[in-house]
Amino acid sequence: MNQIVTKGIVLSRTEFGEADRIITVLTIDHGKIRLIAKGVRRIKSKSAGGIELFSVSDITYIPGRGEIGTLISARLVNHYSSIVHDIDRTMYGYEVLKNINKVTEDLAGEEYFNLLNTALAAINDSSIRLEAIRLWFGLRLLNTTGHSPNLHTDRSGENLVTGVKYDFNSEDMTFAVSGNYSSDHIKLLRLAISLNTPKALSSVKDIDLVLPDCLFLVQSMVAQHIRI
Amino acid sequence: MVQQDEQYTGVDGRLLQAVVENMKLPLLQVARQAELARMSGSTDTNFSSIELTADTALRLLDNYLLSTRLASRRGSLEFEPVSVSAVLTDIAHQLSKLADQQQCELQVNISGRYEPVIAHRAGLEAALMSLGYVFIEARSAQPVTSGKRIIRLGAHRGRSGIVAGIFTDSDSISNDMYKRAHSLYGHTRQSLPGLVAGSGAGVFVADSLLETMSTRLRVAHHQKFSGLAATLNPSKQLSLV
Amino acid sequence: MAHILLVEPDISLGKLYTSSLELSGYSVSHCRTAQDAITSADENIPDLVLLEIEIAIHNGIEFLYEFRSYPEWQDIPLLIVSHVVPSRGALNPKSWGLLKISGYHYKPITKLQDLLSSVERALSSDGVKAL
Repeated sequence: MNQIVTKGIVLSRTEFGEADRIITVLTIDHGKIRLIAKGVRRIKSKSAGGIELFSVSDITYIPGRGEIGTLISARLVNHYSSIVHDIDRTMYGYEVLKNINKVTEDLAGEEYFNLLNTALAAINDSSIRLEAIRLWFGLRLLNTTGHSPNLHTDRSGENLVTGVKYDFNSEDMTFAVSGNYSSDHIKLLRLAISLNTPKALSSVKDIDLVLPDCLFLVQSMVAQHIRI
Repeated sequence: MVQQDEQYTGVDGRLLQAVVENMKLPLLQVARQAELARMSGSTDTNFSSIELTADTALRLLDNYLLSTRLASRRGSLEFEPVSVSAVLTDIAHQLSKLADQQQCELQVNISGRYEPVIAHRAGLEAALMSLGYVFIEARSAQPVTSGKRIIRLGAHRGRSGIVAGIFTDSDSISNDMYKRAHSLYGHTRQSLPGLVAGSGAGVFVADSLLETMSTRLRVAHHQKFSGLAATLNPSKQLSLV
Repeated sequence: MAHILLVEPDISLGKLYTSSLELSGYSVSHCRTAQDAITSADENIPDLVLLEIEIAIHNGIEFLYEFRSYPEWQDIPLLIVSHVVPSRGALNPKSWGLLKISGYHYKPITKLQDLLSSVERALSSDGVKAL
């Protein structure tokens, strides 16, 4: 039998039959896959290691002839267990899983796995503010899906400068002169989109002055360009 | 823009919030147990009393926690047009049982028709509720006037906006008393000894809530009644027809 | 007789809610943790769930997603009865439809009578009534 061993993060689980579950897994090198986890009875489902949500697992499976393979074994590698200690973080964790599930197709590359893994690690870390994670994840998701905003030049091609306030057009993802967004907003957006992890955002001085506006802006960009 | 208010985010502030949050559960147990006894057919009137007292205390704790949450989000609160008369009427309805228990008569008196004010709805309701608790407690301990103890939830147009607050038919509070109370609270058991036997915490909770809306309580008068009120900004966009 | 699954971590409150529901003719299974609630639902399918969000080990949001992942449990009416303020991000009413939350009761201001009325409404719109 052709067994495949990979690393994956469970995106969702649904029931299938009397005692089986179908799990959707985002793997590091085999894209997004769906597997039947046989004999995982509901009563024990929470203690069935390896297919917990908010975790990275080593997964062994047999590809199926159709869309669904069969899970042979799953071993927990990293469980982001602190997420569920906080209700807001739990809810956001589910939101991130749902968003990644929706934007990824079967051939999703390693970049989606890494984005998801980093996001979950950040949500798991109570020292990183949730709003900062939301901002970072939204921008990185836009970047990964090819919808990055233009944070360097305005609509007419001129460099964005300090001392000028800009408006933002979500359709063409550019700033134009005369609006409410200052250079502080733009700097935060540039910083957030360039970071591999949102941790550094926690130490940005006076971030609260611009974070709510930037978050609102990024959320409208995501709503406009990523159908989730 | 969000400002962190140090008194709520410092170690002591957070400890107090955590303690207050913890205190809600036992009060909830007492209130619901008393309610269950009443629902099960108990004729002991004490259960109604206990239920009401515990529910009132629970609301006050909740209103305090709301004031801390709003203070920590100052600058990014959701303001909306709020009808003052609707709020006062709703608060009166919620305070009616307590007023009855304390042998006070509750009235709502709005002098004229006003455009809505711009406010944080939940904050405004919580502020007037908290203020109401104190005034009912205070008035119930004072002598009757012409056979009654009246608490009036009132609104009128002032020089700089709509003045809304709680007033009574007794000369209960003066500018000096109120000013002194602000310097006393937190340092003494009775901040408003001329008004109420207890700490009068509801007044300060109300004031904290209103402060997040850029207004404060002050001594005011409404048709010969005196009390505490806040001036609220009318909405420039909406007018009542 | 309609059967209610009550997920409430506090023993006293659990007993109070159970007593009031039983007085109104419902049978009740009271569980204090999310795992116990899943087990209980497995053994005795409820007609309605009352759920506190603030639970230890696995919180109510986890329970909610787990519960709704099973097709035969997806349409069971569910009311949240919680210490958590409803408007805070995680429990924004916009999420309610997705998770099929029939209603939200904020505990500090919810009387037993309000809860019973809400339970009756949720069950009768589902076609199940208390006897």
